[in-house]
Amino acid sequence: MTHSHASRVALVVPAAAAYAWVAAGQQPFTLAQEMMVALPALAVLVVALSRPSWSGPSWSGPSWSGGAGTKRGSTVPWVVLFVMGAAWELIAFFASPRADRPTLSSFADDAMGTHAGRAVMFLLWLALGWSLVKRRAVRP
Amino acid sequence: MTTRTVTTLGFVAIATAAVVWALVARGPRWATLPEAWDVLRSRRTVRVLLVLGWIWLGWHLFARGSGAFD
Repeated sequence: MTHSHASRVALVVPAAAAYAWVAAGQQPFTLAQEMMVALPALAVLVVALSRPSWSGPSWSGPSWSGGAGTKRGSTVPWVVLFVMGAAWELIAFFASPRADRPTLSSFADDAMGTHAGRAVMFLLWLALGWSLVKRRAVRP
Repeated sequence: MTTRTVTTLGFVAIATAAVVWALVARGPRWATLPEAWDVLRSRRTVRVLLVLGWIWLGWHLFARGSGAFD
């Protein structure tokens, strides 16, 4: 981690945590809460649109090559895990009653029962958005 | 064992498998989670679709509140 990157992290993480804490204190169905969600959403969408596609990675075959010709490992196990998770979520979602078949959102609802829980969930949501538009990781 | 327990254990098992694989997947043969994530978001169209899904998630969880999925 470079010094400038560490400095940015030291600034951004507390700011994001503070933002999440304030957002967690707003009530749903209010303009204030909608703005707290819409502002980062708009920022992430603009960045996602502004960055071009990357060359190199391919969905075909068991492995893919990076932009500099470096060999990259197979993503198949991650795809399998994602499909398993999505399938389990769908099975739970379409089954009933919800009390017997909790979905991921049921667990999220449980976690958001307190201000701190909502703040952590909001911070995780912000982190997920950042992970969608951050610059790509490069294996050394 | 209740249906709720079985459903919960299913999620726990998949999450555990993901954590174990994240720790094990090293070297040139397997992609790490950040590398797999980079493949997924490498195309702008896919990335924008993922962002739209992320916005939907945030809107329903926070702007519309807990229980929005029920």
